[in-house]
Amino acid sequence: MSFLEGLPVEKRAGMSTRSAGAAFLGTIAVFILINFGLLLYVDTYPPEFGPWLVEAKWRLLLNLDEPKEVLVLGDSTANQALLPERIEEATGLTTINLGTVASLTSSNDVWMLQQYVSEHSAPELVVIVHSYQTWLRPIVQTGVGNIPFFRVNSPSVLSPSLPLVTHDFAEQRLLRFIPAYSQSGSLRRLVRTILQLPPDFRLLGGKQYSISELGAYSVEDQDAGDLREDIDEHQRFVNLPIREVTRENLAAVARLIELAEEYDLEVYILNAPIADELAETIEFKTYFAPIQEFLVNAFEGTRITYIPDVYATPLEHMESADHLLIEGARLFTDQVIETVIVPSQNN
Amino acid sequence: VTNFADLATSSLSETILIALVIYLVYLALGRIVIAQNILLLLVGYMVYTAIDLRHLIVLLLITGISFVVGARLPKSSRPGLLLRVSIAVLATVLLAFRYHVYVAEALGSIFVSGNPLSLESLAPLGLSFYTLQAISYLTDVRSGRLNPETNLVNFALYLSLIFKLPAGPIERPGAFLEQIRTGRQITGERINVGTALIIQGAFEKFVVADNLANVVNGVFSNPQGQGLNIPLAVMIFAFQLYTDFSGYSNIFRGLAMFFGFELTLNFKLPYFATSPNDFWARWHISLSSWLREYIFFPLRRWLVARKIGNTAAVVIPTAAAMLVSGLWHGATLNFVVWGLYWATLSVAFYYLDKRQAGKSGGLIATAGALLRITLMFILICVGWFIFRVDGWNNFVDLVSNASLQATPQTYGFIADFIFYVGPLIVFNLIQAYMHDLFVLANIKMPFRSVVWACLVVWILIFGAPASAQFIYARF
Repeated sequence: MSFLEGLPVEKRAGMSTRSAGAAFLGTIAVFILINFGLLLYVDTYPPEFGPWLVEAKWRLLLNLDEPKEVLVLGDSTANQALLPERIEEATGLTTINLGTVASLTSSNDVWMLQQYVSEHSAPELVVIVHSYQTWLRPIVQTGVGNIPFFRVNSPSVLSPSLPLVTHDFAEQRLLRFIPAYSQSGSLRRLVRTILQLPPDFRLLGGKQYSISELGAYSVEDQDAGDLREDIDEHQRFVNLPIREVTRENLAAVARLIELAEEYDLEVYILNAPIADELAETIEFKTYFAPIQEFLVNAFEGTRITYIPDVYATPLEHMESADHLLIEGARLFTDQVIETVIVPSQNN
Repeated sequence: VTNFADLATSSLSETILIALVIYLVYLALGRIVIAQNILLLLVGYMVYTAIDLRHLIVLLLITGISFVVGARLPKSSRPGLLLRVSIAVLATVLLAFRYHVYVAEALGSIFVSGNPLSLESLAPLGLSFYTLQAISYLTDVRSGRLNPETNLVNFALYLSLIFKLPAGPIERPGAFLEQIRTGRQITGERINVGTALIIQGAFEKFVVADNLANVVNGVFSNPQGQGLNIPLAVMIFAFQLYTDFSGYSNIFRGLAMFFGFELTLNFKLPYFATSPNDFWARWHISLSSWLREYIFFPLRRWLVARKIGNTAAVVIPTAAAMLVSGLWHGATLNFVVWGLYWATLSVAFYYLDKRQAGKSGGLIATAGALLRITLMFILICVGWFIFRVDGWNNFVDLVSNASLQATPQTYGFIADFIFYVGPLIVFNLIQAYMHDLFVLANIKMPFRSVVWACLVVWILIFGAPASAQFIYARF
């Protein structure tokens, strides 16, 4: 251990600018190689659902040949709550579910809607579903990197009506191809899980996710332990000091109102279904009340209708505190058809 | 309601583009040293203004005072008095901002927090660092070790070079002004070492320090029922603080090398220290050597000249230097106690070593390096505990809740520690074994490129999603 004694020094090896440049360029080359490998890996074995879903839903939107009459937007609660096939069957209205994730906030509703109306005629109806928490969340920059911007209409067309929150368009188009950045959260969790004791290398194989042609995502089975943990987590959350609606969501609300006016859209905003055990607590009601109040006031007198009802759902239909199992989704879809879609058609 | 346009801020690509343009202009100016200096000065001032225009005013004030007094000192009939007055003025400015809470209480409502005139909102970035540099400049000019700088641009750049403005290092005027005056060479070696330092610093800051911050902040802000997590958090804080500051130092030192500057090394594997003196020869070296040169030695010489006893000549300068170090870090009691703690340790080790000199036995003298390092690390951690606590109540909460009882979070903390700090310890051991702090820069090609690229990928993946401000930029 004698090497531990004495002060270390900085040993300088003389080096030509050419050698230093070679090391610098070599690093860039190796980085590109590693990045290419990671890109292939995350495309083949998506390490996490969220980034995969964002990309899948955006691809669905960008590959849309025909316009749809009903557009479902929102976060992952929307993704799991409304079944477009069921809406088509019951109403005859062509429908697509473009619900993504909460970390993109309501901003993503605006971006998708703008992308949609730039290529198609305005839909007859837009239904947006959000978890109560989504309104309180800041946007996650790396999540934006999962949007396949290279196929989105050119920035000059969409900008400034479709600016990103802190990064510009060109940057996101580039960062999307650096999964070590754009999917850092997923890769971080993956590596940490693999390196835990005992390591679980099966995770390297990723998971296979799928959505229907119309964007429906179905979950059949419930893990009672996970559900309980999630409800407990929400209960802890609603006991924390009440947060304010984030500026990203404030901006999205303002832009949604403008878009609804501009394109004569009929837009409904719904609260995500929530486990009855949570929905009925006084803490949840207290926590949610100011958010409801904000949304009621924000959309009052506009073309957007906010329905403040809380859809308290029995635990047997829930995958998590605010995500439905397929049976719950069927019931919720029927309820939305009956209370929102059909009445809107009759008006 | 917020508009989308309001949310757009300067993008990363814009920042990189601006930095590249500045660098190309700097290179194009080639050997026109004064033009390069003006460019760097303007960049520093622009960044400073972007943070807060009022910060620039304080910087300009201190630059002006030091420059004028520096020029006057050799001609003054009473240079000693002029030096003391000017140091008092500089120290007053520093102390006023450092002790703004007490100043606000004394001066009443005009300085209350939230008021645009509040000293808290005015406290300029890097003030403690450039004030010490101004003091050392004036002291060196007074002692005749340095001729006053006649070029205001050069002098202003000495105090405000962007690569050392936020948190040092505290550069000594002689050698640094020489670099500014005579120009810099951008050599292959500097580009190579600079790149390695930037990568190493980014790893330390974004992967290690920022991830550890969550653990530490969680435990220190809510000690109830934390048990074993409290001593663990203290140990984790030791690494958080080290990697945060060392990360900053390496990044900015590396960037400076791209412009041909050599900044002072601030860290030499501090947690391998075997005694308090050894620790201060390895930790925040630019500050500890400043304290040694401008507090410890002058005071010791003064005491020795007055034939004040040997004990006093050791204890008083050590205590004074450590106390100044504590006060420099902050206005609260814990920093004072932290300074006194280090003073006590330094004196105790001095006598312990002195008693054992020439003897073959003794625990400290014969203990292996590993034992001494372990003992020293525990003592350092006690110091960091004092340094980190947030007031007396927090101290009491932490002490009363600390135990050996693990909680469900304990294993997560240990896993985080191993995952984030483990690679750093291995790297530091390699540096110690090779006796070379530039290990990363000296790897043979092509392995150097492979290691660097892997580290960049690691930083991107494991860098904390939200980066915290550099801790030492607060001081």
